[in-house]
Amino acid sequence: MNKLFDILKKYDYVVVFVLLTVLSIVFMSRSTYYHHSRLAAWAGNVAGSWYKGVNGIGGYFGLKKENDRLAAENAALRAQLAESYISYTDSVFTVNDTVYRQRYNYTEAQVIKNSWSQQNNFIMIGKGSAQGVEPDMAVISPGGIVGVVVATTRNFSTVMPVLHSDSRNSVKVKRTGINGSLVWDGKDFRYAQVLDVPTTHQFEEGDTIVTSGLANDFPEGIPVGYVVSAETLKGTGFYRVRVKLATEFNKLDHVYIINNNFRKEQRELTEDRK
Amino acid sequence: MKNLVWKNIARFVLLMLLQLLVLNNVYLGCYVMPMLYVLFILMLPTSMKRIPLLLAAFGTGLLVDIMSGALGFHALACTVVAMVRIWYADRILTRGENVVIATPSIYSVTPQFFISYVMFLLGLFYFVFYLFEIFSFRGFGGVLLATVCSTLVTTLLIVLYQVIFNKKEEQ
Repeated sequence: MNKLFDILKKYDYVVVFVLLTVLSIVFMSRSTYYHHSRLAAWAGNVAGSWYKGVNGIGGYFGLKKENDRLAAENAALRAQLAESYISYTDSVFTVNDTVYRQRYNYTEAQVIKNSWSQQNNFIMIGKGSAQGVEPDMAVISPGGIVGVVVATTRNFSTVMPVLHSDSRNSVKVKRTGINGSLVWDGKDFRYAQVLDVPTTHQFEEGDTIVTSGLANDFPEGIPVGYVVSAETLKGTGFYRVRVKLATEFNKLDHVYIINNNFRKEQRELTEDRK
Repeated sequence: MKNLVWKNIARFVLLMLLQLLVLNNVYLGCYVMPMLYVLFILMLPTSMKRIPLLLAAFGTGLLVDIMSGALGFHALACTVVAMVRIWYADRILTRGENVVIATPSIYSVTPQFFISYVMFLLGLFYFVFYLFEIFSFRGFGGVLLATVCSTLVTTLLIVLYQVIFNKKEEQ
C-alpha cells in the first residue's frame, strides 16, 4: 500500500496532466453546443468587456471608411423612399396599419470582437438581452448576410457567422428562385458554398444568391453573394456552387439584428408538428 | 527568485497583449495562425515545479480560449506542451551535471539548440491544436500542412521577439 502511495506521489503531475486534459476536452464539447453553455456565456461576457474597451480605441481608425459605407447605405435606402418613385398608374396603394403589420424590426449594433481566420469563427456584438436581443435572431451587415445570434448575456451577444462549420442557411438564386443551403468549407473568408442544388438547373457566373426567407428568421432577399463557379458532385446529381460572399467579414463594424415579430407564431406551427 | 517571478509576469503580460491586440487580428491565410504567446510556456524557468508548470500552461491557454470564443482548444494544446516540456527539460535543458539553465532563451543556450527546442514544442502545440480544430474540415493532410506552416512562422516571430525584447534581460 505504501508503495502505491509512493508511486502516486512520484507521478502526481501525470494525474494533474490527465485531469487538465479531460477538463479541456469537456470545455471543447461544451462550447460546441454554444447555446446551452453557461460557461461559454460567462467567457463571452469577460471577453466582451475587454474587447469593448479595446474597440473603443481601435474604432477611430476606421471612421472614414465606415462613414463612406454608411453614406452608401443611406443613399441606397433613400432610393427606396416613396418620394423617389413616380407613379405610372392611377391606382393608389394605401399603407394601412390594419392591412400591413410590421414583420421585421432592425436594431443596430457595433461589432466588438470579430474573427474570420479560424474554422469556427464567432462575432461578438455590443447589444444583449437588455436591448431585446434573443438567440436565433438574424444578423446582417450593410453588405449582406452575417449570421445568427447564438447566445446572449445582458449587454453582449455572440453571433455564429456564415464562417462557422455548423452554419447552415437557406438561400436561393435570385434570378431563378432555386433553393439551396449555404455552408462554409473553412478555407477562405471571402468564399462560401451552396449545396443541395440539383444539376437540372443552370447557373450563370455572377448570379446573385439571396436569403430564401425559409428559415432562421432572415427576411427574404438579403444579399448573400455572387456565383463564381459550379461543379457537379460526383454521383449525386447536385451542384457545389462557389459563392463570393457579399459581406466583407474582415471589415465588419456595424451590423443589424433583425427581430421577426411573427417568430413566436411561426415557431408554434413547427413545434406542433414535432 | 522574486526577480524571476516578476520577469515572468511581465513577459506574460507583454506576450498576451501582443497576441490579443496584434496577432489575433492578423490574417495570413487559412494555414497560418501565429501564436506567439506559447513562448511564455517555453520560457518558464526550469526550476519551476511540475504541477505549477502544468497549471500555468493550462491557465494561459484557457485565457486565450476565452478571448477567442471557443473554449478548450488552446488549453489542451498548452497542457500537452507543458507535459512534454517536463520530460524534455528533464533530459536536455538541465543536462544532468553542470549546466542548469534558469530560463530557456536564445541567449542562455545556443541558437541552434533553442530553435530546435522551440520548433519541436511548437510543432507539437500546433499538431494538437489543429487536430481538434480543423481535422473534421480538412483531414490529416490539412492538419500537417497547417502545423508546418504555422510552426515556421511562429518560430520566426519567437526569434524576432527574443532579439528585440530579451537582449538585456538574459545575458
